Amino acid sequence: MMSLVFAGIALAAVLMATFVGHMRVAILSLWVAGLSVGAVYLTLGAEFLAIVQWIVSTLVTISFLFFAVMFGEYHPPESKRSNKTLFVQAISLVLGCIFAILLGLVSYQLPSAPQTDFADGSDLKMVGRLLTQSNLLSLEVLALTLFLVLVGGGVVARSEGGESQ
Amino acid sequence: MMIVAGLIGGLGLVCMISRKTLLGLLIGVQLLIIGSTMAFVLAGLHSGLRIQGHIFGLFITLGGIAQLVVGYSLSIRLFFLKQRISLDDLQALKQ
Repeated sequence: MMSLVFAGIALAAVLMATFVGHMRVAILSLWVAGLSVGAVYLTLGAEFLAIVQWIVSTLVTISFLFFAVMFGEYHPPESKRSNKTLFVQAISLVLGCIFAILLGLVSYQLPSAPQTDFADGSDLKMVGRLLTQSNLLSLEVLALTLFLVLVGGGVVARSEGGESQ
Repeated sequence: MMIVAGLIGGLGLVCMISRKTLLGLLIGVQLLIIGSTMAFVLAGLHSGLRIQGHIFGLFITLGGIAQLVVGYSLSIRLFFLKQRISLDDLQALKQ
């Protein structure tokens, strides 16, 4: 029951993040959506993933706010929307609905009753065991990817060669 | 609940297509990642492979950080080159 409440909050926040004009409100709505999804994970027995989701959502929100301030995306919403903009929004809305319907149709192939017996140990213990025993190579690849992205991001974001020089 | 995950991902797709700023695009990608993570967790819960769903969700969430860093780097580079950030100017990075 609580998971449905948090899912409703997440859905409302996602709607605001998608359609609201002010970028600051959209970023804060994204934060609320991330926190609500983390709360859904908590009610479903995924404590470790909930904590990761909360941390990632908070850091992403902070970085988005810094990004918006630095590069001046705090512009007011457009007062008048053109027909092309409305057409693109309508098409994208149809695509989004098709995506949701397809995912809902796929979910009908799953067993209806979710697993609620968590007697196989705590989530953190099981996740750690599975990561180190069965998914160690995947974890290493992910760590290497994040390291390369960190170094590559610093190289790509260099300041040489701009029009100011 | 899986419908909610699909709606979150679908609205992320809507946000990616309809927003005109790079930050709006990144917000849409984040929503798409949140929806797909939720779908994997729920699928694992329903199919009896609960922890495997959590592992998939963990990898997707952490992979989302990588795409976010790449998006930031490209936008900062674009700002150095063009003194502004616009989605239409991203093609200038190919030169």
